[in-house]
Amino acid sequence: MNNNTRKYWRSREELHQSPVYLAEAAKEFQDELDVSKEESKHDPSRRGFMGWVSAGLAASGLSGCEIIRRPEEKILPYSVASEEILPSIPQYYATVTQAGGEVVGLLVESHEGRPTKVEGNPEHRSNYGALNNFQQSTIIDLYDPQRLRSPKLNGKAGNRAGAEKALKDLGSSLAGKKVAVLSGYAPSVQLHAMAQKMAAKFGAAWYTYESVSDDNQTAAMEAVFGEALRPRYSFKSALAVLSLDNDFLGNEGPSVAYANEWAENRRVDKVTAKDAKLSRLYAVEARYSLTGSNADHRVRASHGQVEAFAIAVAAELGVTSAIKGGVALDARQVKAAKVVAADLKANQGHALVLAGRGQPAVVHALAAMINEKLGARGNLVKYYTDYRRPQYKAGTGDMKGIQELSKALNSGSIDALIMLGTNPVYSAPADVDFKSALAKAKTVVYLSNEANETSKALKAESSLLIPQSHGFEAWGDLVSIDGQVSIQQPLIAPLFDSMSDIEVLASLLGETETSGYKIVRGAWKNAVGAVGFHKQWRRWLHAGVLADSNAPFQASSAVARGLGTLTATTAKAPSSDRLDVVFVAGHNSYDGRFANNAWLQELPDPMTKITWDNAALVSPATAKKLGVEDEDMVKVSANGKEISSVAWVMPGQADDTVVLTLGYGREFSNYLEYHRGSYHESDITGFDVTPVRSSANAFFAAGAKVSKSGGTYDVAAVQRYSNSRQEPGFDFEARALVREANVEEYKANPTFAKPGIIRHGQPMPDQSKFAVLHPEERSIFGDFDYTLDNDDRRAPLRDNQALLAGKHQWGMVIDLNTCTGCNACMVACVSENNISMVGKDQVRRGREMHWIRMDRYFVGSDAEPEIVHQPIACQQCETAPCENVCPVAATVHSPEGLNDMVYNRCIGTRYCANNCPFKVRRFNFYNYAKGQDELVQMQRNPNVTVRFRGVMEKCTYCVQRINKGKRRAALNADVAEQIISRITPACAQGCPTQAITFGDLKNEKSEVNRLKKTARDYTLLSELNLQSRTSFLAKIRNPNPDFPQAADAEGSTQAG
Amino acid sequence: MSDSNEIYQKDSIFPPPLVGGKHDFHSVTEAICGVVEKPLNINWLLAIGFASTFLLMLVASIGYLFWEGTGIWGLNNPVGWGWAIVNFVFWVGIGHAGTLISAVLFLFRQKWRTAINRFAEAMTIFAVICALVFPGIHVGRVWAAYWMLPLPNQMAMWPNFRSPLLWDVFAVSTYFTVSLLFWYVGLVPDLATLRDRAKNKIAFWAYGILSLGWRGANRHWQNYERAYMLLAGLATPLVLSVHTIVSFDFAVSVIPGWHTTIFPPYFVAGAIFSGFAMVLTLAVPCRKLFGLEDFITLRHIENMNKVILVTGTLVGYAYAMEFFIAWYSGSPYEGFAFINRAFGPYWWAYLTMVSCNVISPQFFWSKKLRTNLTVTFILSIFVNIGMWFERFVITMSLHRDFLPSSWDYYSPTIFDVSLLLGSFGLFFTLFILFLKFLPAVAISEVKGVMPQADPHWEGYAHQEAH
Repeated sequence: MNNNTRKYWRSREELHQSPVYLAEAAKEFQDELDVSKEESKHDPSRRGFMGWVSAGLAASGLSGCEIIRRPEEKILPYSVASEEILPSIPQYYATVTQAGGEVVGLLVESHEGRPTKVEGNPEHRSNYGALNNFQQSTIIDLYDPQRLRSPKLNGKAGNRAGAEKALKDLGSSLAGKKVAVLSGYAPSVQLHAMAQKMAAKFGAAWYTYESVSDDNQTAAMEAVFGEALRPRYSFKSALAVLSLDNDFLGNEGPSVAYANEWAENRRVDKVTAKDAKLSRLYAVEARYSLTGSNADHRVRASHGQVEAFAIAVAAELGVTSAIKGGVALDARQVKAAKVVAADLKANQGHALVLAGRGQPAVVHALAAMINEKLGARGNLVKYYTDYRRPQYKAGTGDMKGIQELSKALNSGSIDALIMLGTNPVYSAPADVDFKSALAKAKTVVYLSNEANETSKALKAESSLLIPQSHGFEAWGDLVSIDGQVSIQQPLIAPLFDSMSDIEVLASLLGETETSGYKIVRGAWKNAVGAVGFHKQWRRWLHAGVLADSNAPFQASSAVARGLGTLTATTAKAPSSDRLDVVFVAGHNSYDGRFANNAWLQELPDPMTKITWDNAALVSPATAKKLGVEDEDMVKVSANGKEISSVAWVMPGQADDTVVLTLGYGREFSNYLEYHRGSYHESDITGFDVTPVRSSANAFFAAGAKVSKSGGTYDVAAVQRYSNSRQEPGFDFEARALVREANVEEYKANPTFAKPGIIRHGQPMPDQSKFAVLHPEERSIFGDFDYTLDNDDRRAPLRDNQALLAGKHQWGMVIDLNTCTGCNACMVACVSENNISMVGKDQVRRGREMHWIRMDRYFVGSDAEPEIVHQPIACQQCETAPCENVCPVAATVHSPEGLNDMVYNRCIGTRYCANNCPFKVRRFNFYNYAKGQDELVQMQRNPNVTVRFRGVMEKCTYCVQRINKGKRRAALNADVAEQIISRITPACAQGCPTQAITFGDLKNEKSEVNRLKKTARDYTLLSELNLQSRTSFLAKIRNPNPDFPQAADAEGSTQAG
Repeated sequence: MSDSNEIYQKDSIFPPPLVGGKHDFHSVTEAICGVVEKPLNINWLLAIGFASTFLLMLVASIGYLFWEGTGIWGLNNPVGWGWAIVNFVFWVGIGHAGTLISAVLFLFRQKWRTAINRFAEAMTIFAVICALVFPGIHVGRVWAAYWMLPLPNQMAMWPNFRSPLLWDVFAVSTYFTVSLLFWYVGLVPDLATLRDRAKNKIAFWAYGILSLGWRGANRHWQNYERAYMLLAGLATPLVLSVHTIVSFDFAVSVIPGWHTTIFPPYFVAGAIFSGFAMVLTLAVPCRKLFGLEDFITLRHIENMNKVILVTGTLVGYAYAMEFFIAWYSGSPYEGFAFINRAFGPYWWAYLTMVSCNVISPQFFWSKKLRTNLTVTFILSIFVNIGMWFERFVITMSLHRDFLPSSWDYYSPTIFDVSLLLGSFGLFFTLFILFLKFLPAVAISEVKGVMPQADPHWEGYAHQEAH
């Protein structure tokens, strides 16, 4: 039988080929609608509608669910699922980022192709696996709803292909014309290569400009070593450190690595176990910096006195005696300089001196000379070629560069200006009128991530405004301060029609290869050779760093030769009608580039606790002299210009000095703020201080005047200095919230932090420094021992104790001695736990949502207080007061000792928050999470519920991480203990100094158990019988007994 | 004033009669029912219009609250409870006088209560209605507020019986139920009177249904009096329990200033204090406006002023004792909490509270002042203000607790204010409706305490015969 003889049919109509059937059959695979018709926008067909919807979805980035965002070159449709991607199992990719030239290695968590959280790469020497607040929050910059989305090419909207073509056309028309490039710090091998090509092809001059500039240091290095070097300090064996206005624990240099290394010699029990010495930190500064707050001795000095102090120490150490200058020291400072010098000398080989970027070059040079004298070079400090400025010409710098560029523009001698991601119209000092200079450029290419002051100043018809790819969208490479190279690997295809700086230059140069991936990979293939390159490349991408043998430079062997041409400055002491102005980089805004980053804007400044704004900081005595108080509007005039700002009293700051924070008062692109049901563009954040800044001395101005301008300003501060000082009847010490001692006291009485229990009518036990006035209340049923096995346990009679039957019992220890107060934990927590930012207005109302906050307390006198930082999150009390008051049992205890919050059950009575002694519970007064842009929502961690309005929330010890660890442990029984011991909440993971330790209390060998058994361990408010799972290790200061005491050392701890 | 005062002012070894004027049973019925039966007049319409405007404000404020969330109030992180809770406790407190006057005084055979008990009970019911508005709306997710009730549900989830807020739900709802029943049972004979006098169909049917077929039979009276007695017995412990349990909302917590064992008696005394003040605030103008001077006599007013004097002094004692215990405990938190109350950021609230609650009742030591209607009215308003501030001062203990880092200051927004004013709107709307549609004085009970009701009374009919 062949096919022709047998006929199969479905229906009789088919068999007989009836006309009805034929008509139906013809339509079978056809759309009933005629799609060939031109579609009207207002009347879309179903198909058209579907098209719009899918385009909308794709544009809004939800396509992350359907497409794995990987480099185009390897893209796979999601219909063929990638082997390594499992839904809900995040992937981690190593990459690298930089801000202001500081490079750190990252591991980025990615959920189904959607990057959600940034952690540090432990392989990277500039951060050792931790991150600071800027780096933690880079992720939210990626999803900034106000990012530039498409290029504007000579006034017309375009796309990426159009931008590439426009750049190519421009490049081919530039032959023989004058071209200049302006970028921020660019420590990138590829950008350096591009700079050379630009110079070769167009003779282009490359200018580098950073508002927070290291000019002073560069000038000093050129004088002392004859070349532009950068010091990379190492605190690993530093026992005596003198910081001359250097905020290395804040935002100067590779601060994460510095904080980490510095903390090693502050871990009291480890140091004493080795019978080693605790390190000692001296800080001399006018402003009160984070580093100053961690110093054992802080010398309050005016800006000019810091220089004099450096000279005095140098003279004392025999470095140089001829030099004289700065502002005369007072008697105590003179003595202090002697003591510091002696201590440095005594610790020769373990002593280090750092100078801050705001200090004149001579101070940097003196620091280098002292380090040389103390034998620190090669050991505690290594010098590397400063790789941040491509095409650097000796003797110039950022401020000179921008002036030269401005001059060249004004003279009309520049035909094309290429600006790569910097915002000079906002950030250039007032004397460089970059805005009018920019107008003179014939053609401008501006690569920017946002519509900002500079982009608004462009002439639309003769400029190419191109959106800049975020670091997580583009290929590149970055070189850290000590020459460690990392490949910048994208995590997601560009969300918008953006380009990277490398791609822009490649297009402009008319290169055949304009894709970032091919440029970077090709260049490295050329550099290291094609043999075995593929494997090597994959290894680099996996590890996030290149082997040091591939690094372009090694530590310099140059020897410090002397101060060269540098001389001391001649400064006059400030007075109340001739004030000093000190400019500092914002802890949260830096130079203004983070003005649009809500995570940073809402992060309280670690010293002033102000969010969303900056202020003119003055010391209490100066405020009194000027007749200003907190929140008074003031006018600050310096360098012939005037700005207005709000006054804020900062105890411990030098008198007759105003500290102004850079990076605020941005005209454009401020983050959206929650306001009654939706997000609105917020007010300008803070006050612009650049008008009173000059390029000649970018961080300092003398002879300023401050006057009250009338009116007040509502500052959104989360903690106020004055809020407890004047309160009658307030006894801070009796609360014993922060417990500290100096080394001698600690040695004499190691258990000093344990509460001394006083019963009525009995004297306080001698050995205890901290009295608990009530007898420590214990359960009348006896204590519950959760370290025992189930059967051995005494019959537990109380409900919540009966429930503590879990296999693991979680606990946390926070070491106040290594916590620097840098706030990195706060951002890490926000990032991990989908915490809503609420905006300035809501912070003013006291409704900030941070699950972990950083409490700051002043100790000592008003003029020269010390500061203690104390991170407070939910203490996970075993007998939690919040639990029994909830009428609907929405907050309950887990068998593992966690105080769980059941969002779905919560009806929002707020009773739990009222009854929380630590006030760590946060309430969604509005529907904060809802009004946010869909783009912002892409950042959310899918393992953490996004909370609705009317729901209470709080720290969970990152229960999603605990559960993930437990699941993995259950699947890998043989390594279960290691997996459990590696469970780390986001705050502990992000902490640069590892001050936070988390773990299983039931495991005798766990680190957290070891720390809880140390003598310094104490819990807060133990007299309430809370049985907190979080405890603190008391702070140990290491003062120098010879150090001159302040005249008014009397005083008590002040809250504020 | 009317001659009832003159009678009262005469020195006599006999207590003055409880009903003044020359009333017989019929004239009592006429006087009290007349208020209800008279056609609507412009004054009443103006009053109800004014009150219901504020009620509308309450509705609008709550509507916006539901739409936006509790963020429209001035609450912040340390201060999680604000005016909503203050108002709740205030209104519950006001609601105490009614039951005390009706039930407790009934059990103690204080016959003078008859003239004011209906009035006071109605006030209680309306005050508790006002109070009940707040626990429901103050939660973050109002649509789930019913989870506080122990209802069977698919989650097999009970509320948390350890939470004072849950006890509150039971205490206040029980109190409301019993008070409502007590009030309604007492109303039945009078409703029947209104039914019998009704001139139109609607009134006839409405009062008819509400009077439950009351015919005034002996059997009815027997059952009625037994039921009334039993309800009085049931309601009496509630007078003590409601505010005791409301005080647990604070006392059970760990917050300094809240964590105090003195709260239950102190709250009960305060509640009676404020309840009587509110009865006076209402009674003094009402007796004038509706011509009820013969029923609510100066003797009633003086008696109530005496209660205010006693409870006000008790409250003053509690204030002093709180300070003493705070000092005596040696606890730095308690010590600071109370010094902070008097001298901290809310010193003005504390000063208002003490002047209104402790100082102003002391004027009532003088008989002249406590029988002066103007003084009584003004001081009763002071007491109302003071008692609102007492609850405010207590709630604001939240603003300074253990860790000074989280301290903040609470100030109300326009929505907090509109809720308070609106709750007065609700209260007065209900009260004005009550005055118009129900007998404001218990007719049958007043008749029972008239001289004519005494079997041994020798009235005019007999006198004439002798």
